[in-house]
Amino acid sequence: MGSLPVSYFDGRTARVHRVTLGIDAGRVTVHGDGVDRDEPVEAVDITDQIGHTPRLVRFHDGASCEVADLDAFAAVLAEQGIARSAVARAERNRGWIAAATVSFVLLLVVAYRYGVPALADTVATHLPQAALDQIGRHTMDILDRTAFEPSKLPARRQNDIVAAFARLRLANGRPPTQTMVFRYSEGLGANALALPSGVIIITDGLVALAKDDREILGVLAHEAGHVERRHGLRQLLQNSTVTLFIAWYVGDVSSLVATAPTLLLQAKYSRDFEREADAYAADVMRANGISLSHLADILERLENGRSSGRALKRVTTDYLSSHPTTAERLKMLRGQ
Amino acid sequence: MLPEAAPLSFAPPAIATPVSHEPQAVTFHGSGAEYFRIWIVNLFLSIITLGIYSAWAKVRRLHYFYRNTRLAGAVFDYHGKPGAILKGRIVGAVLFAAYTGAGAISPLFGLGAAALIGLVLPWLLVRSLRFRLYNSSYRGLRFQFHGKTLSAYWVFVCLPILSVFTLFTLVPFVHHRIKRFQHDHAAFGRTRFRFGAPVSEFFVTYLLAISLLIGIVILAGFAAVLGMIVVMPRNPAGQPPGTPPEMAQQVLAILPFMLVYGSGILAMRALLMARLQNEIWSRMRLGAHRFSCRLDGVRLFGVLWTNVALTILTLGLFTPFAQIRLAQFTASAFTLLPGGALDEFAAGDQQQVAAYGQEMADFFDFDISF
Repeated sequence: MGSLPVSYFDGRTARVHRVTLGIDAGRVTVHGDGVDRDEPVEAVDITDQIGHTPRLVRFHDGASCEVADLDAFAAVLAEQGIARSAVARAERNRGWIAAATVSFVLLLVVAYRYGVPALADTVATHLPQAALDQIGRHTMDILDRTAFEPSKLPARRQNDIVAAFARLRLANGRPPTQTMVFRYSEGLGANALALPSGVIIITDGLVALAKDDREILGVLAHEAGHVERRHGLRQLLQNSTVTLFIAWYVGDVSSLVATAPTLLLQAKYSRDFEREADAYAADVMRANGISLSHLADILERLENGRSSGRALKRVTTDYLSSHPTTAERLKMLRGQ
Repeated sequence: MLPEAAPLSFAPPAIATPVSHEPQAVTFHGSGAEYFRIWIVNLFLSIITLGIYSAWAKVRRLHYFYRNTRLAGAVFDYHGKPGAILKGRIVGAVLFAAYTGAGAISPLFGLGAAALIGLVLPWLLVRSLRFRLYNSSYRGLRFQFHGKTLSAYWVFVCLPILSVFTLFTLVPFVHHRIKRFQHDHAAFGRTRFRFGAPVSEFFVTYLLAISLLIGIVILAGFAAVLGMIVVMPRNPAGQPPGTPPEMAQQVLAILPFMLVYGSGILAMRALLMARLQNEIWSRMRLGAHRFSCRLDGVRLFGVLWTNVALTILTLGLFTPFAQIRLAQFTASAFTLLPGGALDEFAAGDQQQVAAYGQEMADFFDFDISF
């Protein structure tokens, strides 16, 4: 009852023995080709079914049977009340496979949209100020060496702007703690940047572009929002998490190949931060009695000043853009 | 027609035992669709158990790949126990956490921890090789690794340091010694593998790879310039506050560079892998037996390239298919050239080996693949 032809290896030589394997009444028997064994079922290890690979009956002394006829073997085992493992059953169940696949994709999306930002936020808010200062100093050094020259603005003009900024009250009702520095940059033109350490850099080009100091204050409030919400650091953490994950996932391929999709994924994070900083700036401006239209005006002028990249602009979808479109930002600021 | 000669043996001739001197091709029988099911269940269970199941998942994956690899009418088998693997992983994770923790406290601490790990790494690698080989079997016989820890220090620590002082000209030599250490101390049962690849072949292969790399760098440079010219605005001045160049522009501009560079790296990998594997295995001896390995570098490049592209495009869902394709491709290049009856291999002394060597080494991403 319940016997089938299998290959038997005695564990001492590589010779194949063609034998008959039987499993019945709690005993495992192997007969033929000079082999004669009879063991209790509990003393052998019957491997689980994995795909269509042969199953093995392993004896404690290192001998083993290789079973190729999987259906016949499963039938023999079923007669003895030995079922496939739950994992093997799940692997054969379409419903489970579909459910696992969908949950895997969902998990990726949820981790990307919520998990990574939440993680970065937690880490960023717990990082000591000393670490932020170090990162900030380092970045400033690099920028000074590569992109910036000393500001050409007169000291009086600089002092006026610093004083106006110091009179602002931020969202928490307190004066800003951020330090402001002025730089000239050929390449960056009219621009403002915020470093994680709380340093806000403003270029001569931006000061020149502003028709009203309140416009500059709007931009500074936007940058202060980046600092207060630790955007630089969070973005750094989020981006490196995504890059590391993709590099690890794609496997032993040069991580450079993995950066192409990463850039696309990072664009969304960066847009979210810009929206948040705009909202922050709007709150600050309202609280200080500055009309939001000032920030809108300078944004519009910056947009108009963009001389090229127009052709591309048309094909740029919202998803690919690192900033929300200026139209969208103006709409928010002008409350339309 | 004369009947083919039966193997010289006092035992009754076994039915259908392959005739001893015929070349025996290695074949791989796994299928992507089938492995996908195993892979996704493994992944799902690993995630919901916060990684604990991954030890079981690893064993199941290895079972699938080993038992689908067929040679002369029998399959390979894996004997590693999930419990042992889990233990090794926990030790590895603790070491890794200690290492990163030390680095966070002070760079000096981190450096000390790194040096310490460098010191134990050769020890770990020897344990790793022992564990992996001891837990692999074919026709009921276990593989074994007899390499000594002291030689591992010479090969994995002293030689690489030496190669730094010779401005890396010794890298092919060091690679040769690593491969020799790995294969020359391996055994199937009590029969030892003999590594015969000459060091000159490693130098030739590296020279070819470096020439290829120079070509890639030049091409990638052209691609980068092309991307910039076509996409980047001529005058980036006057952008909104804090705006880096638009993401779409960045991506489009570096796309040609990425494609050329990424493909080039894969081509180099395919070249190195194909040439070295072919040379190593075609000169390997196992008792009276020899091997032939004919990996086609160009076709290997095709497999690697499409695997990476499809894996990225499918959010990783192609991974199991990619693994099967690669296994199929590499297995089909291998042939065993028997120099006698395969039945005559005999078991060696049993050695018990713990899993932590391999698992800790894996954790520090210092895995040497066969």
